[in-house]
Amino acid sequence: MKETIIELKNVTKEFKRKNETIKALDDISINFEAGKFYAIMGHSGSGKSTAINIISMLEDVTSGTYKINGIDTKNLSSDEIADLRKDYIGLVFQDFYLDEHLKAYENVILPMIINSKIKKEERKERALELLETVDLSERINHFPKELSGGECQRVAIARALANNPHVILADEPTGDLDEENEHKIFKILKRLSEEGKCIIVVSHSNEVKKYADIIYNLKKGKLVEE
Amino acid sequence: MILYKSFWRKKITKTYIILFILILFSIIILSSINNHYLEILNKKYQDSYISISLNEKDKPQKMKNIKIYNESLLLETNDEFNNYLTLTKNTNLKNTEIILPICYSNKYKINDNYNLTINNNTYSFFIKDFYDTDMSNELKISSKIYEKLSQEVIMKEYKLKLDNWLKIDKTISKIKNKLNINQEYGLKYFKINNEDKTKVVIYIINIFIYIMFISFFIIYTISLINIYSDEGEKNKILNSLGYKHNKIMRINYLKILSLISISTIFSIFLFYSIKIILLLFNINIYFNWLIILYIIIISIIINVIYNNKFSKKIRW
Repeated sequence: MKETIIELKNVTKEFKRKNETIKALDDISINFEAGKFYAIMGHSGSGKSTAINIISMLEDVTSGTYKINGIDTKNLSSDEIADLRKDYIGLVFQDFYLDEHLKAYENVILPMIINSKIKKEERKERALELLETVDLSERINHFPKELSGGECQRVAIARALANNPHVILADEPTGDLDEENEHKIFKILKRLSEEGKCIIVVSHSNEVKKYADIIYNLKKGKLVEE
Repeated sequence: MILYKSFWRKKITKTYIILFILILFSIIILSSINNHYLEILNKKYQDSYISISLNEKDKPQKMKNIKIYNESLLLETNDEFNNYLTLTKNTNLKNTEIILPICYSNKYKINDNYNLTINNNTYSFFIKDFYDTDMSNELKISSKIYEKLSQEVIMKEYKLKLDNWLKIDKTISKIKNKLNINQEYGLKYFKINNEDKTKVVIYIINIFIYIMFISFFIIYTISLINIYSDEGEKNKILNSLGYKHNKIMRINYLKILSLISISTIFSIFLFYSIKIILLLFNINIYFNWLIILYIIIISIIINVIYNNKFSKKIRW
């Protein structure tokens, strides 16, 4: 049996809008294990963004339990949560969220600055290695505006890997990419899952099904395994 | 450094720094010119003084901008030369020796006795010398007798010089408000030229300095608001990468601080370049550290206040 990294038990997330309470996630229980590729699919408004924010600890749950590597996050401070995110989760966004004034390798270094395990003099070397793994070794000194969408997303993946996290969480990582780049991104993520990382991709693209080990569908806040 | 590299690579950051350097340099150079003219003004007033007559208990010594350069006892007299006399301490005189103004030489000679009645007691002095002066009522006596007479004489006259003669009106109104000035002998000005144009020049420069100050803080506040909102997106990226809230706020705070520090350093460098050039023409201007210190302190305070305000606004 593979190691469970993230455990959600009876998780509900509610939002209040005017006098109405909206359940974005409704009583979800799920375990994410190391070495597996998960796809969470759903239409817009199905709760995908909320799911990614909950899994990445950017938002709190309304009720239920969230555990990461066995640590219950319920009573943790925002600083402790930030530390957990730094150590366990690498995030990849649809819009890349790269710093447009930093070169590709500098963007990859960004998460390493707060990681005491990576020495200052090792940062650049590690960033170059990571960019090589996403096939961008010739674009290290380029700024995001000089890169294509697919290249930007690969820089974002390299950045997500910077602190060697257990989980890579990707929110619509191929949303704005063409088919060729979409395959490239999913291939990289698949390879990472085979290397032992837990990959969670939230997507509405059916292409992800070809790569995922487990597929979940999110409908009106409920999660159903396909 | 990477965190700051991104900030410094922005075009808007470079625009702010050019603006800040220009304004700070203008403030520094204007305040130096101001100091230069103030020096000229104070030199023009080096023989000027203000004389005030007070009850013994009052002393102007702890008042700002005032230097006492002469203290004397003031007494009413039936002297043929004056209605009142002032007695000043002279450390070169011994016991009852006295030095009188030259006008007294018409009546007295050196080594004569000079009698003075104070509170019905007559004191006899031995005339050691006469001295040339415009003041016919200033008599010089020994320290010993001066101290003795201080017990009996209630009124004192002080001759005052000012550190900054530009503030003469303000200082005089302060003197009038704080001290019990004798109505009869009152407050007198000596060798003071109220028509001096240097004052006008200084006032005009001061107005420009104020305008520059206000411009600096307006632009600084606008830049703070813009930088913090521009950096908002970046804060979200850092947060998703695991940066703690305080660390992110500290980074923002240091970005602004570096902007101000670098602008200040450059403007000081520019000032000294100008100073060196002016020295070639024998014109010396002095750097006003105080004004820069004020600007830095106020900028830091505004930054801290805005950083806290912004920190509360952000949803993490």
